[in-house]
Amino acid sequence: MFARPISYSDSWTIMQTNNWEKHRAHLHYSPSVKNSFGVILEDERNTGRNNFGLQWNHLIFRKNTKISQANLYLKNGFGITNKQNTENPFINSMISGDWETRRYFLSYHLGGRYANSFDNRSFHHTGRLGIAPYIKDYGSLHTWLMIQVEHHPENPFGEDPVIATPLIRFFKGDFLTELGYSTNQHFLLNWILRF
Amino acid sequence: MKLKIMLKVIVVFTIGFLLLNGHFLIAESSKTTKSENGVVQVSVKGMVCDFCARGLEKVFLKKEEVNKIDVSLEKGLVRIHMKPKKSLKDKTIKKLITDNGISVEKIIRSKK
Repeated sequence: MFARPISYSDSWTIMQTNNWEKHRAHLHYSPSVKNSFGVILEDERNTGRNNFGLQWNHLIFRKNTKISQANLYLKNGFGITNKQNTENPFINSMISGDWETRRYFLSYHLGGRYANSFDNRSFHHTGRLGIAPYIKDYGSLHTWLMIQVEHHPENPFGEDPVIATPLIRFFKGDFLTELGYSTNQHFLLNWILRF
Repeated sequence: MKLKIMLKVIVVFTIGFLLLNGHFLIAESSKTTKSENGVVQVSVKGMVCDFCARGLEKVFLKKEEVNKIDVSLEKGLVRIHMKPKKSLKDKTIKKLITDNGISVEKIIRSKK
């Protein structure tokens, strides 16, 4: 779930991600549309690590037009990672951008993590392309068909480092959910709730 | 096998959302509108999804001067319905909208 890292001002967001790589929960508060501060909990399926950390997301740039919105975000976090009862600190940093109209969606995410000792570092990037098959106004159920393509150069299982996930997104009011199935045969289930 | 399970999950999710959608539409249509003094129409830029619109709705409904707001993603319009004898200055309206990451194009005032 690489878009929507910051909510509208004075609001909370819960985001949950489940995919081939990890289960991830992220709770954050946005004092403004420029920043969000939150906590993350992760259970990495591919490395066996559990992570707990703090996350700061910052909107670097936004471009609004009558029919579109484009954003550039910087996301930084740090915390503790645990594997087989051994704990180590980690830091991560990501940059992501998105552009969307009511019909089309495009995003790109570039991220890296460094953990002291085991697994030491990871790097990945992800792109998404989406299209809304129909367009409805505010308050209606919105549906998006999307394709997500990830590149994980150091995939620990020696699998194909490129993973594609076709997915369907449902979006209504304060709630968004995504359901998909990846080329490495895992389900994707993401959701976001804002309040 | 996994594909069949995935299809079943998609079908269940789709039905669930459609039912939920119907429920909210019924709930919204039964709302009553109070008498209003004036309506301020704001043409905006960058309002492309429900999250943006929801943010605007929440901040305006916190203001005691506002009775309700209507948002049109299609037209890029926000209609602010004021309570009787109440109003908000253009400067305040602009700040509330821009603080939510949306750009203001034009503010039009009219009596309902």
